[in-house]
Amino acid sequence: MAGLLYKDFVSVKGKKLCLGYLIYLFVISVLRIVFAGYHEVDEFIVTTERGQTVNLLDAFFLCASAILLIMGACYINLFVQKIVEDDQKNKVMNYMKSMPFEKTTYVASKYVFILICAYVSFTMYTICSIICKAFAKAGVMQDFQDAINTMVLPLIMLALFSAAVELPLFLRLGYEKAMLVKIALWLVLALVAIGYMMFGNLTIFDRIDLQVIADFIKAHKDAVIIVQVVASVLPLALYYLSYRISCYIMAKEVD
Amino acid sequence: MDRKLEIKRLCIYLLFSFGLAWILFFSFSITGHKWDAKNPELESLVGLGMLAPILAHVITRWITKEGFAMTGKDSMMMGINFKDKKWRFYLFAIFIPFLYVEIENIIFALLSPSVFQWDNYKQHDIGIYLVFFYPIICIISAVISSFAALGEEGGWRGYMMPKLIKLFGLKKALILGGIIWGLWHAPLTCCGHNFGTDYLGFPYVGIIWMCIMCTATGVMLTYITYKTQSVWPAAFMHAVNNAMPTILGFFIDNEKATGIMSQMVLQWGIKMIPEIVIAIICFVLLCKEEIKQGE
Repeated sequence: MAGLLYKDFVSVKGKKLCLGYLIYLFVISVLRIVFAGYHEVDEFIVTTERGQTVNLLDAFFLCASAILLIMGACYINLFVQKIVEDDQKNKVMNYMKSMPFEKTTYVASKYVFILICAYVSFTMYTICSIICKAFAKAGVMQDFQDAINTMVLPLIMLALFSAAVELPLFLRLGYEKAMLVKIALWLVLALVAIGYMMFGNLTIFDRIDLQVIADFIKAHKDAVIIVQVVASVLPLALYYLSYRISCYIMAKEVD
Repeated sequence: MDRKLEIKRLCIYLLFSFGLAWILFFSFSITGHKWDAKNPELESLVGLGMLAPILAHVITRWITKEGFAMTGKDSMMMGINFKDKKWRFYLFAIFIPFLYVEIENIIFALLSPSVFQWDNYKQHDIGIYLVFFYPIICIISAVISSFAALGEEGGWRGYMMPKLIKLFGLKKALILGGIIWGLWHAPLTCCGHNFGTDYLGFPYVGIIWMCIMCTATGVMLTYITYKTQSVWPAAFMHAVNNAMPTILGFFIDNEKATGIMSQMVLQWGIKMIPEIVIAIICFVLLCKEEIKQGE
């Protein structure tokens, strides 16, 4: 299993990526510490439509940590196709059949790899957000950071859920066919979104911004905790179910 | 085994582990901060010092050219294996903190019944229905965000304990490991972490208690690491332990303690009994394993 995981790690250019992540984290941390005492500088302070004063430096670091989160979620999605594509290119499956592995080991390695990526993404974001939040001035930006922190787990789990849907497809159909199905699915979703934008009620979006979300989270603490827990457990259960389905599919294919 | 080389490796590890963490801990302490939940953002930042042991582990392996094997002998023990019923230890790791925390609360409430207050949960700004789900919430969130605990366990259980066991034998290693781990927390104990600042003999008594607590917890963590050959269950247990999964805890008001339980130092001692009992059981089991291996 360790070898298979390492193979996938090489496939996604893991060393470069990890180095990139660490450098990003280091630079953000150093900048955050260097600019820790700039809260009172007038040039950095703006007033929002709601009349709240916001420090632009804090806003910058909030975005910097949020980028790490979005990058993590996107990478999880990209890795699914990348690891299957590389295996197909290098005919890894044929090689695997000649190896004394259990049929499920190959499938398990894919799922474990994606799970590790999700764990690392979550960890990297959490470290970055802790550093950024520690030096931010108490107030709006810290509330925004809290709001984003609340959405981290559901977002990472959404990426895992997407992987749970895609992995059986990619393993069963192969890279090219699965990509066609994936694009078709995204097109359908895009059409639905366009349809809603054309005919749906868009005024509800006028009322939603980060402040509204932050206020909602503050006001409904208990409910948010429950949603967070459910949003973590449910995708993980689905991920396991997807793994069992993939194992079943692969076992049938090998037989 | 080259004893001198192993000691050298251990010293390098301890130097980095203490050095990296203490820079952060002392910065917090020197700037006059107290660990009193008044500045949770800064406390979370200082909490990142928990990553120092695993960083020290990696740096030491890099300096001493020990390699970065994930599994097997002299490895970093980062693999996960559920075969041979090892999954039982993962369950043990996740649920045992809940068990001993609740037994501690029961003992506390029995010895000082006045601490039990039905409406105390309101102080914690939490709904009553959520109180009963709190242990599950704690366990799930602790396992998912166990990276900080992995930071500690990857170092202490993944590197220091195997080295100490090699050098001093199991029994001495467990005690020595606990003391080192307890002392590592010393700068934070001096700021009020774990025990606060308002107790007899502050901060020395706190540091001694921390060493005792770390020895007891360390025995349990070493036991599950030894049985699974992985630091992951230890990390999960550490994370769950730090999250303090409890239901009864919400109904207990420490300030209403009477009799001997009103003395903070005695309170810690009595509260720690369940943890120490489990640690003794793990210690005996570990010793039995050692004898079995010797045969």
